[in-house]
Amino acid sequence: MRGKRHGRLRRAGALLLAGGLALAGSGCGQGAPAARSEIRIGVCIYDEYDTFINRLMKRFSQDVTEWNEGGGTRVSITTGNAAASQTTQNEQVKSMIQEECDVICVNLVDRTDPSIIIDAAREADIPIIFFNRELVEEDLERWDRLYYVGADAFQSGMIQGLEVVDLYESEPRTDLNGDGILQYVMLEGEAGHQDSIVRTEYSVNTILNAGIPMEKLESSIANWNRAQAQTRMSHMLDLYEDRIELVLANNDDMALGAIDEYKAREIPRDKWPLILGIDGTDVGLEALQKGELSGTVYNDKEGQADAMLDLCIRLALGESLEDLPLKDNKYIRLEYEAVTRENVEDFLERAAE
Amino acid sequence: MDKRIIRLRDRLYEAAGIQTAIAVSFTLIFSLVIVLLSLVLYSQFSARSRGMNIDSTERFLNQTRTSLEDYLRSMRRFSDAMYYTSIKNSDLDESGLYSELNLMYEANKDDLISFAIFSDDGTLISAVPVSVRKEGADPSSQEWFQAAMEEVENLHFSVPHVQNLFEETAGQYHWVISLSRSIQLTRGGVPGMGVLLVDMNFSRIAQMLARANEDSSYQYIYLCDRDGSIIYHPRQRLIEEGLFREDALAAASRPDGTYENIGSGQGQITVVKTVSYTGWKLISVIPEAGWQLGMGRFRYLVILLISLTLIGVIGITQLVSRQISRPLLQLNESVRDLESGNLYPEIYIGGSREVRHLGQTVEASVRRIRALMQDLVVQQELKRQSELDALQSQINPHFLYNTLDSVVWMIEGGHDQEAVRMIGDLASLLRISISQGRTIIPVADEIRHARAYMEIQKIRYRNTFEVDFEVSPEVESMATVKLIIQPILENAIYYGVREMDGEGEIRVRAYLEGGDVWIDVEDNGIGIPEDQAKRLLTERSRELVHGNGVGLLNVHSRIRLRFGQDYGLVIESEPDEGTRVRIHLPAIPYRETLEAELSSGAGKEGADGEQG
Amino acid sequence: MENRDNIYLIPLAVILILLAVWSATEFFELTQSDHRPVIAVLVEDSESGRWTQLRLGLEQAQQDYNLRIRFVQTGRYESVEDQLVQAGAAAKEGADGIFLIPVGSEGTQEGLSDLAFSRMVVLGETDAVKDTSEGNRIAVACPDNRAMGADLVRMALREEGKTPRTAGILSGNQDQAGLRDRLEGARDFLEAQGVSVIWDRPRSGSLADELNGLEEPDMILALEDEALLAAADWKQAAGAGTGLYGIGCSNTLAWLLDRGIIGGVIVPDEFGMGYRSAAMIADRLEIRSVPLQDITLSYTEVTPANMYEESIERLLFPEIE
Repeated sequence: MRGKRHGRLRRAGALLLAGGLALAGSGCGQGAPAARSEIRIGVCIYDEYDTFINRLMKRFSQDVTEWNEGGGTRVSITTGNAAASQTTQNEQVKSMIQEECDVICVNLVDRTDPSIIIDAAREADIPIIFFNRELVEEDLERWDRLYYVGADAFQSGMIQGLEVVDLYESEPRTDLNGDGILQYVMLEGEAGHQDSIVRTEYSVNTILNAGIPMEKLESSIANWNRAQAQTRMSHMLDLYEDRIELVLANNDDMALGAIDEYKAREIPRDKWPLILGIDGTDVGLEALQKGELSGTVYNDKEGQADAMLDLCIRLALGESLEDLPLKDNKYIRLEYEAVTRENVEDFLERAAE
Repeated sequence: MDKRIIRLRDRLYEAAGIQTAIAVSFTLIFSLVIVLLSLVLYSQFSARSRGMNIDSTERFLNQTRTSLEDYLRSMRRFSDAMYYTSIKNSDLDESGLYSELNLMYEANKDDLISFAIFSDDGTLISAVPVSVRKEGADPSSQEWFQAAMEEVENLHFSVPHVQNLFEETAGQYHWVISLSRSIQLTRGGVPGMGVLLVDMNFSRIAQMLARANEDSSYQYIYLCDRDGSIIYHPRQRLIEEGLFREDALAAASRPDGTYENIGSGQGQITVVKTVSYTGWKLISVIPEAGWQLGMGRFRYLVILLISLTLIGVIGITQLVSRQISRPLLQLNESVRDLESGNLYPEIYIGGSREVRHLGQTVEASVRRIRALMQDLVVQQELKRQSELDALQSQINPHFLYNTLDSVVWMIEGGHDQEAVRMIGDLASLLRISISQGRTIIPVADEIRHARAYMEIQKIRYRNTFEVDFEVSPEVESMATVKLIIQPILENAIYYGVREMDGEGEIRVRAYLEGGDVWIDVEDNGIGIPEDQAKRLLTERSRELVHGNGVGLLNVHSRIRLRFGQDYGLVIESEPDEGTRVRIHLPAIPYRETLEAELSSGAGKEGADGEQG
Repeated sequence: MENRDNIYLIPLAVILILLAVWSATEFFELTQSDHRPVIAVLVEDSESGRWTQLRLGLEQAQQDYNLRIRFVQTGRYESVEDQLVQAGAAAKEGADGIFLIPVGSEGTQEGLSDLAFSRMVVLGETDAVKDTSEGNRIAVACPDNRAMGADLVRMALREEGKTPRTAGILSGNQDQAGLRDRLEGARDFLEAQGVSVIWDRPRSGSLADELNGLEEPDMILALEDEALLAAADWKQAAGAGTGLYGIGCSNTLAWLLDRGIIGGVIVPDEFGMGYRSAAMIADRLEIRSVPLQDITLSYTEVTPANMYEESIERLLFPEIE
């Protein structure tokens, strides 16, 4: 009698167990990820309307397409545009982590606020390559799988300054009022942005160190934006009219905005001041070619894009990073180059590749 | 109704046996309790959970509303600050204003796209950060401008739209909510009217609401104005394409609160909160379907637990009922054994105290039954024996021979009349002796029998003695065992008066005394010695059974067998004086059914019925 | 003897055990329902801004139907066979449904028939697959291309005001049946209106150069997005005054309309294409017996006059930044 009762229980128990195991097994089977046959890269840019970033991304995409055609492990990219909101960018990075990206490239909106991204990445053990907008060193050192690809901002400022010095010396008409002092206005990128500050500072100091006295008429923030720069330029023209001898802009877009205003006011070309930018975007190079822009500094987007992709692929496949020019095991910096009317053609060709 | 249930239950008990009855009852009760409890708890939990869900939704909605209101308020303050501190008291033609505006913009640029000042004909006076007008854009025809000019005293919030005022980088556009107001401004000393436009970054609000909608997969929050035009909805495109229905107007026209099922076919809870100053409505929708889905897991868990528990309950009650009933069932088996005739069954003694007790009692009862049965057997034996003896005496050969000899002798002697009388007495005697096989006859018959016997004996013993019968009439109808007087008379003759040569006297008296029947047979013979008298009724002495068969002991036994231990013979004797043998019977009026009634030896009680 | 009475318990116990197993199954299933079906999306040049509307539609469906949308990274396809091979690869990697816009219509049907056996397939924009025996596995989501072509011409003529006499047509990827339909619709209407088509060019690598070499018509009609944008670029660079109208959905259209570079555009409902296709696939994955159905999409006329209207705004400016 005892045996019979136990027998029934045992049967029930066995049935339940079998059923549960079968379910768990089938469920697991379905949910298991397919074998890694593809590298997923996530890219978060800070603003898709920033010309430089835009072109950088184009090059990056081209590189990826070439790589895929070359037959390596397939690479796919997911992009996110943060529209200048760090919050949005944080969300984008998080969802890329969830979608199991192998590497994420982040063009940080607010360089003082990378914590959420770094923490999320570290938790998921997904390496991050910051690019173009640089973090403070301390933040980059919070984890050993954080990298930075970009250039040294101070270099661009310096080169811009050197170009001014060259132009000043070679074109005396620069000093419009002949007082021996260079009156200039500054179009800055962002308040508190490191690149902005550094470019501004180094540019001006380089000129000063070359022995050219300067007088700052005005400095405004135009948020790297062409239209805003145009507006600022308009205001500055209202204030200073033709006293402006030099317009220094932290990037080409803003320089072009200044040019737009001069064109809109139909001020004759020979009355224009020197206008210089930084980046060497295609529109900038064209303006330089036309003589509207006086000079720019080439930000090697091709080199950066190539380096980024290379680093991404190596990280994703777990290959060695030894032969990469990694400074401190984290930084890949590319060089800026001066672009003047003389060598602008070369750069135009390079950009067309 | 109750009776029917009780009857049903009893029938169940009777039909199914104790183990099943216990098992079923327990199972039913447990199951009922478990299921009831589960249902109650589940529905409680469900209701509570739902209530909590609604509570937390309301709270969350409140929070979202507060954030939204904070944002809108700060924008309003900004507009106020701009107007009252900067614009109102300055002359717009002077340029100092511009840097103030710039400052304000930089400080708030996360929340703003731009702000601008227009004159009342739509001319752009000043704008930050971009003031390059877009060709073809006409501010005065845009909704925010017209609304501001219509209601000069109020700030006006527009619905979200794409800013169509300034030059943008190719392809760039901004979704904004325009906060516009009519202003007084001064240009070159000339006062006039204009419009101050603050274009708020709509993505801020959109993000706020998108984040609010992140957590739950089925409930969502949306924002609309008081006419039901949707400002932000997580499925806005779908609504426009007709792939999703949202009756925002119905919800927006209600005052703040929690409602069920407004404007939709399916069940849903709608929570409405008004955002102050703008009249916008923040609405949260909890569709029942999603809620049900959320509860789905829980429901399956409950069912799983209930079924597992019930299986356990069934198993346990089986075990318990078996434990309880096994001793009883074993005891039952023993009793069945007994029923089937085994007088020496092995009675199961075991189980709980009570069952043990039952077993022991059964055992004792069995023993008693055995004893009683043996007694019964003995008694039946006795009865049979004495019947047999009585039967024997009915047809005693010696008596018959002698009497017939006497008859022959009489006939040969020519004493025909006496021979006839003797034959008649003999016939009477025999008739009553047989009495149609009955053992219970009326006293009257018994007396007749005795009389006939004595007549015969008188003739045979040639008046050795005298006989006298004194029978009171009440006694005659009473019942008695047959052939009890004759043996005593026989003894009286043989042992009592036979030697007395005509001086012997035998008297038979029958009367009622003390409610009983007494029949005394007295003789004045030699008597019986005391010690013998005692032994007469207690031993089966062979000496007293003299040829004629039935002894006093036999009579005594038979009376007691029929009527009980209280009755029988009483022997009183004085040597040389006489002997009186008294027959003590109960006074039971004779009826024919007494034969059966008294045959089991029930005694006076049984025969009399009510009287005890 | 005792057990005989308990026979009744056995069916009861069996029922309870079944109930327990069933509810355990359902419970585990719900816990495990984090398995989201995967829909692979194959369109040419996947990163292009031309697909913004499609992506939004797919993302919305992803949310609503608990799916995972995988946009396969692509550039230009050499041929439709490459695309089909990719589709096969995607299926092998675990995609439950496939949405693709085939770059050519010939051979699509046969190439997909194997795939369609095991997966849900929806084709966009082209009615390459009409009456097929695989009709219940492959469905098509597209607008009425012929009507769209005709309506494009109608809109263009209306916007131009004076009736143009000559027109040039950029006919896009003529390998696609959908575009052939548009071309037919446009041509028929033009003929009916007495406008002569002086040239028509399918897509090519250097449209700008081609255009420079062609006679400038009164108006240019571009039948697909890429052609429209290329023509817009050319028009800007060349400073031409030709009226330009087309069919497209890129997110730079608004700016071009604003500037007057494009006179009017017909925008097919690509959001709906993405959303409804994904939604249908999701539904069918639940109930496999019901066949996929063709989806007819709508399209909207957008001109500088109406581009800032509320509902059209949302079409032209899809992303709230």
